[in-house]
Amino acid sequence: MSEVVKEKITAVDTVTCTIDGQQITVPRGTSVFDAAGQIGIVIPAFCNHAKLKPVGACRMCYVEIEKMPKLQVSCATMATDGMVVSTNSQQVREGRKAVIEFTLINHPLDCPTCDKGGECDLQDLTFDHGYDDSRFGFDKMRFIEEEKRDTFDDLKIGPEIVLNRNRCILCYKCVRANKEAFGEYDIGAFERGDLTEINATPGGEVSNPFSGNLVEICPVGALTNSDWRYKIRVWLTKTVPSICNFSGSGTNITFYKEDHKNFVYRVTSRCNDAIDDGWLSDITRYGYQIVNSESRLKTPLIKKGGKQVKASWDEALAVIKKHMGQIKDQSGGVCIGGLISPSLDNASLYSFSKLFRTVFKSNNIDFRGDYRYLPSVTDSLFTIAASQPFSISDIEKSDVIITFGTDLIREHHNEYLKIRRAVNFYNSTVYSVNPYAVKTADIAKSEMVYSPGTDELVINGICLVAIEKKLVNSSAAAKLKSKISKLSPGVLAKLTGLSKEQFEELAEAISSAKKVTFIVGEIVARSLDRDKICAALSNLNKLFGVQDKGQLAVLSRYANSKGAQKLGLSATPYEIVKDELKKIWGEYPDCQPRNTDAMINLMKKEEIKGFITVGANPMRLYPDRSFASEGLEHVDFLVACDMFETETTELADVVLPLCSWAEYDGDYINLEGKVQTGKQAIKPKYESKAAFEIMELIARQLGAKLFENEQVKNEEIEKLLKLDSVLPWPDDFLKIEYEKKSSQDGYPVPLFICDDPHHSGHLTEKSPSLLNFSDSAYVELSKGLAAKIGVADGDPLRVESPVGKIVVPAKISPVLNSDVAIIPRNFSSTQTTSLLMRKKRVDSVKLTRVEE
Amino acid sequence: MSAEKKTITLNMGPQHPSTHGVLRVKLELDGERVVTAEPIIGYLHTGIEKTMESMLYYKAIPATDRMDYLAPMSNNLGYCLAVEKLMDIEVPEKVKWARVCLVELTRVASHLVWLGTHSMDLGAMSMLIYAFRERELIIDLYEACGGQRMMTSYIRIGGLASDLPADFEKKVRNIIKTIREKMKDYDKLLTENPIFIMRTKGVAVISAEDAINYCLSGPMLRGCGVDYDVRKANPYSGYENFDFDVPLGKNGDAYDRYLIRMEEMRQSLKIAEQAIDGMPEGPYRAHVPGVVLPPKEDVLYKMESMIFHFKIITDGFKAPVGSVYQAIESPRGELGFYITGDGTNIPRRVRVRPPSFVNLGALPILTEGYLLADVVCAIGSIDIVLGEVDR
Amino acid sequence: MKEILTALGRIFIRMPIGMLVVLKHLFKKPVTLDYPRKKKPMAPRFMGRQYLERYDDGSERCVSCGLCAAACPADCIYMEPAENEKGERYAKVFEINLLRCIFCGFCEEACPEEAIFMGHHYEFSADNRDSFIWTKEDMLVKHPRKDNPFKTLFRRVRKVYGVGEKKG
Repeated sequence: MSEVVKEKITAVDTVTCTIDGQQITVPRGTSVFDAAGQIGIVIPAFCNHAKLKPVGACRMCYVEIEKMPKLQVSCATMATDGMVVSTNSQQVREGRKAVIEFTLINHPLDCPTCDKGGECDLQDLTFDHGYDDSRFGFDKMRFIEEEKRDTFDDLKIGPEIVLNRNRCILCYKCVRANKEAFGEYDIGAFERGDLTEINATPGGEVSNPFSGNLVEICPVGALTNSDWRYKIRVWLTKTVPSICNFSGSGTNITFYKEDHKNFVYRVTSRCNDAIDDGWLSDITRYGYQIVNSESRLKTPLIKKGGKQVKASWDEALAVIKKHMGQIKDQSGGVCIGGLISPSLDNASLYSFSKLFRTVFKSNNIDFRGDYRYLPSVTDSLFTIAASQPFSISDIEKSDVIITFGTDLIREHHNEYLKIRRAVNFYNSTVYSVNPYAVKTADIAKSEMVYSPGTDELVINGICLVAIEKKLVNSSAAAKLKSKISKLSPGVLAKLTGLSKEQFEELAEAISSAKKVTFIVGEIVARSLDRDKICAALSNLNKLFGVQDKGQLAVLSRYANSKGAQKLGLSATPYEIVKDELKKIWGEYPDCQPRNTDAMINLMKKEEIKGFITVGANPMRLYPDRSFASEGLEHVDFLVACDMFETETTELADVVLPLCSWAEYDGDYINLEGKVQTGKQAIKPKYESKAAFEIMELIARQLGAKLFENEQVKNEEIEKLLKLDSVLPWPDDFLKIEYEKKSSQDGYPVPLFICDDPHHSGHLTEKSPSLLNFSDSAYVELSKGLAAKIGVADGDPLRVESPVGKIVVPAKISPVLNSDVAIIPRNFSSTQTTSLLMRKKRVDSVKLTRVEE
Repeated sequence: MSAEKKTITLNMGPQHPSTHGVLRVKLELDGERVVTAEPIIGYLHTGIEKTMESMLYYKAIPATDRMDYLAPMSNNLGYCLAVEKLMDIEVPEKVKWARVCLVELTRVASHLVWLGTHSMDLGAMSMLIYAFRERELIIDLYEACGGQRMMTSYIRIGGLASDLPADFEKKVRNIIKTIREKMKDYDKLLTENPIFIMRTKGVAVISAEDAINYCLSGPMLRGCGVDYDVRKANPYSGYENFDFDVPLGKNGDAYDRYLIRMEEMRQSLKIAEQAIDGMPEGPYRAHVPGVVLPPKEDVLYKMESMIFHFKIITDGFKAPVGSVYQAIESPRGELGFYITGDGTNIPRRVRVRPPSFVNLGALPILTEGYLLADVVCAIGSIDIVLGEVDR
Repeated sequence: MKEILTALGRIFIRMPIGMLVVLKHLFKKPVTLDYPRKKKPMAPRFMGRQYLERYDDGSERCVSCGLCAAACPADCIYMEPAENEKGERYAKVFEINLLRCIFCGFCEEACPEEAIFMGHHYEFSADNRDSFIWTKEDMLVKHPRKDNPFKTLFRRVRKVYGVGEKKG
């Protein structure tokens, strides 16, 4: 392209207009509202939201534009060349006053009772731009429910949402956000004229996993949530910036606390465009309630005569000193193992690692307590895939997005919304490739559901088709073909349950994309053959050059999984991390590294005698409950640190109360590798202590010292974080063997264990608000499967696997379309993991109706 | 102690009946003669300026009451005028007249307390009882207006807390009449009383030059014959409409100051009478949306008023960036408020120029060379209120 | 000579005049009251301690909106809102620390529901600090005030017409 043509294009792409006497050049298609915002002119508005499309419903953002006879709404007027705008002329001010006056005609005098009072846009804008007196003396209109004539006007339209239609100013922000950002349709506007009302869809309720955002963006008190209802006035609270602890993306949040009470009042978003767009999932928004929970562990407990009794910290530490010291002296530190939760902060993780590796001189540590049978291999392909760089903001810049083996709405809420945004606002194309139909599919160009357990074959199929169609570099193609050419695409299509055309579609999409995002998720990560799948991904990456024009990574699931990898928390850390640790400590244990699975195995053989869990609950989450429980029961001395009583703490000899993330300053590394700080909102509740403090105390009990002071600790962590932790893919194409797996007879339905869309891990069931959304386990089925078994929604269903059996109610899923069963793992009342076998790639179950 | 030192050091206060609060005066005495007298302050420090800097503008009004607790209305007025100047608010005519009336009666009340305590310091016991008896009338008027007898907080930004009570005029006229009557008694008791004259004439003298150099104000300054009164020099709140004289002294001694204060009370009653005669009808609050609270009746019926009420109470109003100084003539002298607004809803700086504090600075000059007993007379004639000195 | 004469004049003429003033007061009625047996009536606007008003039907007016606490310069009001069985907001806890209270009346002025008002009661000394914390039970009036200036207000003030009927 010649220079001249290029210039022409840039000239066409931008427009220059004058706003309040200031000239500004903006890209074509920018609204006057946004253009004014760029030069610091704030135009008042109710209905405009930076992350939604303009609608021009509230008419508050009036501006005067030369040569236009009437006032224009700036949010829906695009800036054009030579436009002269004034945002604060007499006419504009009068116009705003009139708009507010009209808005307030039917607004009830609810400020004293309204929860929004003090942070209400309507109040603020009336105060700044409105008349201070009303000219409308007639009666106000009010929505009346027949049966609720005497009661207050509030309607509960969802588990956590309360609607007051009288206060609504009809800005449609909630409806638009629900549709454009979350892809949900459970709230809408009904009727016309002055009877227009926002309400839940008839017969339904607003219970989508992002419903809390509707409350936050409501400019008035029409939508309020039960969580914050009549709790405290907002001006009495103080805000503390923090990070979400339930997701891998590190969504930015704000804690609201009060000075005199050790209590977190609520969580709202803290918009960080690079990460979260200001939307929070309900897990993040209501999950904070676990911090205030009454059922938290209040004091240390020690086991006396088979029963756990309350004890002081000194007593508990003395017991730890006695037993751990004994094990260490008699059997050696290698007989001690530990498991830590990857949701804890860097300091805690690093202290844990240092305690084990320098005090116990043991390599028995892990942080992945919910991944089945993870073999201890240094630099396994899965580790490489998980270490790849990823950028959340690049999702919306990609024209092709492929979600592979991930049920985003249950794993990565934030990325789920980002993908929706990419489709709705940037016209990206999404391909959803999963072993079962997922919610993301509604925005996907095509949805591909392959048979469970054939993940790597799908990738191979794509590669083979690409070679066939000559979509890729021929020399690379030839190399790869020699490795995986055993099966033809046609056979692969048959095996995976997809068609050859679908492979072609994907191959063409990847090869023709300008920028591609390839997201791999938990379904792959939790699979037994994760290394094999990652090998296939490595081939795909090399063949198409995916990372040259985009990104491909297995997303980390927990708040600080990436940090745990970077700080060397796995039994076999990266080589560079190991070297650095050696340098910092001057020593590094040379004993056999053992991960969770190996440790539990050794517990059974009584080779591991002492075990410490920190925030981890292997009894609930390890995908073979009987295996885990057998192991933990064999341990001589088990120390469990957690916020709540869990299945694991019940077995423990010493239980130590752990702080929540709101109670100390901590750094977390999100799935992009970005370090973010969560600030302390409240003092530690009860007698709980942060994990890094506990580690230090244990070390001191055993006559060692982890850190001289805070500074030393931070410096050491700093050194490790500086290391480049991206592992290189193997240079060559990898061979992928296909083994035919015989399906278990009599257990026809593949089973997937994952998180409920409203829960995450084992802690969120202590949050009352989240329990309002879903409070017990269920088995999610497709309509067809349910019909086959003969169950209706809510009927109890017996789920049997070769090793276990549970009875849970059936739930008919609107999205599933194949014969799979999904059971959430978040509820202690249902021992979901007892159905799983640790060395099985695809669990399968038998579903039978419970006869009355 | 060196052998040559002939003086003795005596602490007067901080607990002493004649220091009118908790003032400590460190005296160097040569026999019974005062060599130096050093006032030591800070025993009543309450951090009022700092408190005001941490509060919304309207919330600081009760804090001003507590500085000069003998003249709460003057403090209210000084602060409110300063904020009104900062916010550029014009108050209704009626408010101006009502404020003048109330402030002048405050001057009378304050001077009455001074008269009672000062004369009691000098041995005239019954004067105290009589002065407080008359002051009670004015205190009752406060109660009828604002509901409080001392810490009134009645004058507000942009007007008054509530409308004047129905029987306001009757009450004020009664006060004026009664006090004018009683002032004849005070004259009989004190003005020509030989003991009083002996205790005050030629005592605690300060020259006009010294008074100006020490930045004195109020009766302390006018006692030396310097004609300076803020009400005449920089009229505020419509003082230019009133006809009154500023009494001046000649000798600058305690007796002259007594005479001036007595005359000021007469003049104040005269002003109050003019104010009550000429009081116009009108609203008791300015209509300034976003700064002055809307009428309570509207708050209960109109959404706009409800929002403005709510926002003003919780968030206050944002003052522009800038500084103002507003001085008024309080009973003790020039009371100034210096307020710096920084665009937020709380002031960046509030500085009070308290007349008592500045006037107290002249104590060493007033007492040098006089007898120990004259120190009591000197302190009394300054008319200090320690709440204001220490703030 | 003149000075001596003036001085003598003062002693023998002026002083007795003064003494006469004092003497006259001997025969006047005392202006003091025999408190606490006799009490002075307070002005209608007198601000004693706070009370909480009720509606005519006996329900509490206070909705725990927090404006009084926001307006309070002494930070003496503490309240915790809650939801009653009708879904309305009410004050679960409402406490005033009278040791902090400066009786400025800002709370009464701020109240948008005309719930809190300053009563005429000013004698509430006690011998322990706890009894200066007045709770909602202590402050709620038994019966609504007769002389309530806002007697005209209906419950919740709001004149409304419903659309529930229209929709059927």
